[in-house]
Amino acid sequence: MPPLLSIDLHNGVPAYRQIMDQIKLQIATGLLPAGAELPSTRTLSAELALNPMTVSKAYGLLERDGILERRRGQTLTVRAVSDSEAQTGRTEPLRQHLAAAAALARQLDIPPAEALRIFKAALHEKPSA
Amino acid sequence: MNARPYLCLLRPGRTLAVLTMYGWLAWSWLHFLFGLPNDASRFLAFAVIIPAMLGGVLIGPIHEAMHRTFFPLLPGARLALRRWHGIGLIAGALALLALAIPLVPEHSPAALAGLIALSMTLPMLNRRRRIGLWHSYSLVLIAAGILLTLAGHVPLGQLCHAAPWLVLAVGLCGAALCFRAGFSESMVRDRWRDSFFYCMQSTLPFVGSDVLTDAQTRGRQLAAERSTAACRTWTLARVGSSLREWVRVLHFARFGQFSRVRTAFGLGCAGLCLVPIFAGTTYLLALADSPNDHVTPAQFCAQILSNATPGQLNTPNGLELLFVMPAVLACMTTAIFAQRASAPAYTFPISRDRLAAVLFFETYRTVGTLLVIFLGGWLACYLIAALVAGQPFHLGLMARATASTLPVLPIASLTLALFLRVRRLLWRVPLFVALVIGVPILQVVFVKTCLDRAFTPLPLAIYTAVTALAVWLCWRAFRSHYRTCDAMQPAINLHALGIA
Amino acid sequence: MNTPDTSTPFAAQSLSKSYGAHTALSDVSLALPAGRVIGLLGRNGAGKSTLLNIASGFTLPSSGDALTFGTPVARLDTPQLTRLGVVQQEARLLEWMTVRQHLDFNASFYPGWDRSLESRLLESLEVDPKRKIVQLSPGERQKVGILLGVCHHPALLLLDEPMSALDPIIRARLLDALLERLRDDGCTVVISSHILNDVEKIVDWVVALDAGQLVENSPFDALQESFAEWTVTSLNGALPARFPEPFVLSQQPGERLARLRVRTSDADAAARFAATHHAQVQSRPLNLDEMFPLLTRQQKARS
Repeated sequence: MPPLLSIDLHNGVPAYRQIMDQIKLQIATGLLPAGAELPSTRTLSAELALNPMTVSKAYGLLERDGILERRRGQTLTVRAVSDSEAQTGRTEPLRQHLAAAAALARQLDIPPAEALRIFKAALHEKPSA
Repeated sequence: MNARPYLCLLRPGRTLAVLTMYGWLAWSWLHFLFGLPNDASRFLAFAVIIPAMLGGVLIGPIHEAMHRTFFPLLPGARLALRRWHGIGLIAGALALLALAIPLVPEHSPAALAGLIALSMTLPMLNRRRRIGLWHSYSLVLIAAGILLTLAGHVPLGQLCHAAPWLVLAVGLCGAALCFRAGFSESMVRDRWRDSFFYCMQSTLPFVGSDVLTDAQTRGRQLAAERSTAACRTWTLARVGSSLREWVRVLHFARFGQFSRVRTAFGLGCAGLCLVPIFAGTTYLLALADSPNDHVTPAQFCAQILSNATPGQLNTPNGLELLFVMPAVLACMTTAIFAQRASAPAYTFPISRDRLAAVLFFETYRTVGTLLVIFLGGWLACYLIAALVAGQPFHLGLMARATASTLPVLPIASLTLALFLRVRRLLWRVPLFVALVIGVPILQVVFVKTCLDRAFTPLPLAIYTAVTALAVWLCWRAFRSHYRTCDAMQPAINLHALGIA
Repeated sequence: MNTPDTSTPFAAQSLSKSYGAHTALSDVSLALPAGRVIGLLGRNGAGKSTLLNIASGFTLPSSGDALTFGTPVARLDTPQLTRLGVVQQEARLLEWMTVRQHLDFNASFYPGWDRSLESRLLESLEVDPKRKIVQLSPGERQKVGILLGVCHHPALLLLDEPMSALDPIIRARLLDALLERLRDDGCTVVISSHILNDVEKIVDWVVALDAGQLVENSPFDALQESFAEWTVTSLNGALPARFPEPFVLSQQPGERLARLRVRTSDADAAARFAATHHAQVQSRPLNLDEMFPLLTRQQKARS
């Protein structure tokens, strides 16, 4: 199943980085299970209307970082990872978002205890029907 | 590159049309106008003039492509076109030779071949450089042609009889040299700097074609870009609603980029140039007519002055041409530039009727100015002739010259009226041909019959009535054209004029 | 994807070009990387068209060297020209020809002219091949210029303002067509355009000129990662009126909150800055529109 990526070319974040982050997120959330095949550089660049160099750079870096591996010659697949690595993969995006939230709290002069209380309430919130 | 793209570039149909038109014109001028005996005119036409024309129309489309910006990027284009032009030249030369051998039996085929070869390749050296509006190389060729016609054809014919193989050898060598030089790298590279060249096949039918309109727009743009700092300043602080002010605006928009002093100087020079042209032509015509009589300058000038005196037209055949020229030139110019006159060059914030009035007056102002210059040239010519002949000058001498310019006004008015009314290209071409043939005939008839009686009461009355009618028709044509036309071009920056 | 061309498509060494008293390019030295999409950026009159004209052999340098496919530009010949494709800003074509005739004429000079690509582009760019070039509007002439430059699968494609007169739908299709060329041919594309929004979608290398001088020659990713906008919030007291750090390119000062535009590839710069000024720094990347004025300002700051 091809990954569902959405790249914003105008927000200043390099396209290759966006691809990498989104693939990592999809692996962490289980949308891309271990062993899943990724589309070729050519196919993905055609689908996303991107420069093929960008896609190949993203794939290359993901391969270098050990997130993807090359099997059967040309195809890229998601590498199976140990549980601790998977755990880090899942908590990293959350940590980044919370760092931004913490900065905002400091800007608004909200004390840490109050900030934690707000976060706990949000965690227990159920989405409205 | 194969035959199909080359033929597409050449447009054989149009090439043939241009060649036929100019070939026939050349032959008829040689025979009727310059009064050459039949064999001499055939010799010159088929051995020199028509080959030169063919060479010119064959190289024209190639030059046009070379003068465009996409050309330097085409790989191998220079050599490919050189090969095909060579093929075209050989084919054309053989065809002309096949025509010339039976039509010019007095000269050997070898001499004819040599002349044809050289004449066909001479136009390749044309760098299409301009002096003002004219192509300098074309002027050189035309001047050479005229000299050849008037004086050179006799020695040339003798040379062809005496040493035909020498003529062939020299002709072929010259042709090879011209061919090589014409496609040299430097010559080709020189061309793509100037993209403003249109060959004759592209500007057919010469009146109202798309390419011609585009060329005129571009030409205007180029002229505006080339204009130097010596422009006039606009002096009216505010343009009101009077017609006079708007005529000034249009005149400024059209000519404001040229300094007054320079224009006056330029026009004065042009007027003065008429003098040598008249004198030279009549001298050569006289010489051609009676080569054995030796005429002194004083005698010749006296002849000119006697020609100006009312009475019988008793001078060489082509001298009538001088009196016929004004109307012919005026008619051709108005026909060709009617296109430009009809599409308003700029958009002014005035009503269409007013725009028509402004353009109408501006056109007549221009025509009047040109007539004055023309008559000024005549005046200078007669003054000098009187000086050389030692005869007193009196204004009565200008009577015939002035009379010959009388038909210009009605003819130009009618021509303009016709071209403004006739919009469709299909009707314009026969109209153009009819005018080209009809006006000279009309003017010749006028010169032969009424030239001396032009200023008597009855003819003057008729003339005034006819002219008034012609001008009124022209005005109606202007008004109806601008009420319905929609060819508006981008507005000039009125701020630059100090208006609005 | 085909292997991209490995020899340098264009290289310049101390290249200068003057038109009379006006200097269009001064002392430009660069080597374009092969197989990339290079955005040639600069203000009007910065020398972009001049550089492209020199690269295509149309203009010759006043001094210095310019080599296209390893050949000096004055001596470009058939082997190089068949691999070169140029889309000029104001091309002069043979006005009397129809589009079809002009395409056939140009095609006869290129052995590798692709008829199927030509017909696909004619359809996607919506060009009527039966119309005469003199009757076309400027946008349609631009489309014809693109067709003439692209259909022979060039290894180096130079585009000078190819999109300025095109409507948004055709612009999108042109970008698609360029990306397709990239995927299939692996060619080098140099595109000079003011429509930064479109340029941003495909470039991966940026060459910027300012007043005839080269001010930038780097991968687009590196630029995106080094430029940023910092929102600086003071933690105690007022912020200084002006921040002296050299990597601060522009600042909008304020008492408690300031916005800075910075350029630094140092990952810890923000943290150190926050520590130095007792402030909190939030970073946001800049897009190409925002980067552009900073690219050209740097030259003035340096000189």
